[in-house]
Amino acid sequence: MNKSLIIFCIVVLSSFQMMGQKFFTRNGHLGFFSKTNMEDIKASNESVTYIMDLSTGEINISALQTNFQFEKALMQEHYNENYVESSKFPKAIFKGKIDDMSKVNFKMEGVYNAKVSGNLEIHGVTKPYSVDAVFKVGGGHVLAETNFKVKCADHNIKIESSLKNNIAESIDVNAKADLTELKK
Amino acid sequence: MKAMKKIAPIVFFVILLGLGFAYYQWNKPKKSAASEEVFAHRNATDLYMEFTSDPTGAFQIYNQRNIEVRGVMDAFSKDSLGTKLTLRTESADGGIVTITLVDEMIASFPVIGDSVHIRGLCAGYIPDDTGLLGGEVQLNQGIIVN
Repeated sequence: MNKSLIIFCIVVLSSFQMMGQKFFTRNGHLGFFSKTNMEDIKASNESVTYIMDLSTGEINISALQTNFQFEKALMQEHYNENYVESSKFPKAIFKGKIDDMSKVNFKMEGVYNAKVSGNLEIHGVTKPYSVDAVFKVGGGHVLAETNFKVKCADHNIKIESSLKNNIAESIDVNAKADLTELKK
Repeated sequence: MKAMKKIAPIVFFVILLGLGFAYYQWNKPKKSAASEEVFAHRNATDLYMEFTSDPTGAFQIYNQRNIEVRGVMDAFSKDSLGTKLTLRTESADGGIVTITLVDEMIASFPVIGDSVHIRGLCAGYIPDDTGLLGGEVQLNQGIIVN
């Protein structure tokens, strides 16, 4: 009985401690995939910074464009030079918030589905997005993941007519991060 | 007909050359710190300070350049997604320099607290807009010099 009470107290106290905290990672994943009949193009960046405030649900994501790794060096060159123009616009940035915090309980271990809304800046163009995300809470970690689509045209990324069949108009994006407490 | 016979080998040669060039372009190796000429030598703090004082200017100077950096290792991670090494800086905000290594180039790993000497292609700088983390200068395709 006493043992159960102690365990209960530890769980409750650690949960309250978790609520006021900022969670983060600098090793987050951001990947994208373009599928056409002609060609599949895949790239990923494993050095993405995610910061999340568990009390407000605010999420900040920053990724450097030149850190996206492609299968082929030529694809990577084209991506940075012709499409996202990384020398002019080095970062992709998302600033958003969980829409309804009542749907996620960071005090309790579990898997929660919630909508995240915010602004995504790519290629110097900022657009509002609202995406479905999954938050897995447990063991002092928050594992956040979402999949959504980005239209190249929405961010003023121009694709030459000769390559229209090689690059999808709408790119599948996957964002995933294992967040741990930020200790100052 | 005679002229055609003379031109045909030239046309064939030009096509072959074009195909060879296209093949090379498609399969050319990725740039890495091992293959690129070293552009600058910096210690981790100086490099970080250059980015914090003028992010745009420093990015224009160092973008995709091979930089040799000296510093003290603060963290090290190796998993299926890659090998990453973090150098601490003496900046007040706790900023860091991180290097993602080219796996096959790694002979031996340093330990936390070691003075290390690495090279990597500069990917840029992520400032700390929240004031919580400190900024980060990222290098990729890196190698450990010693």
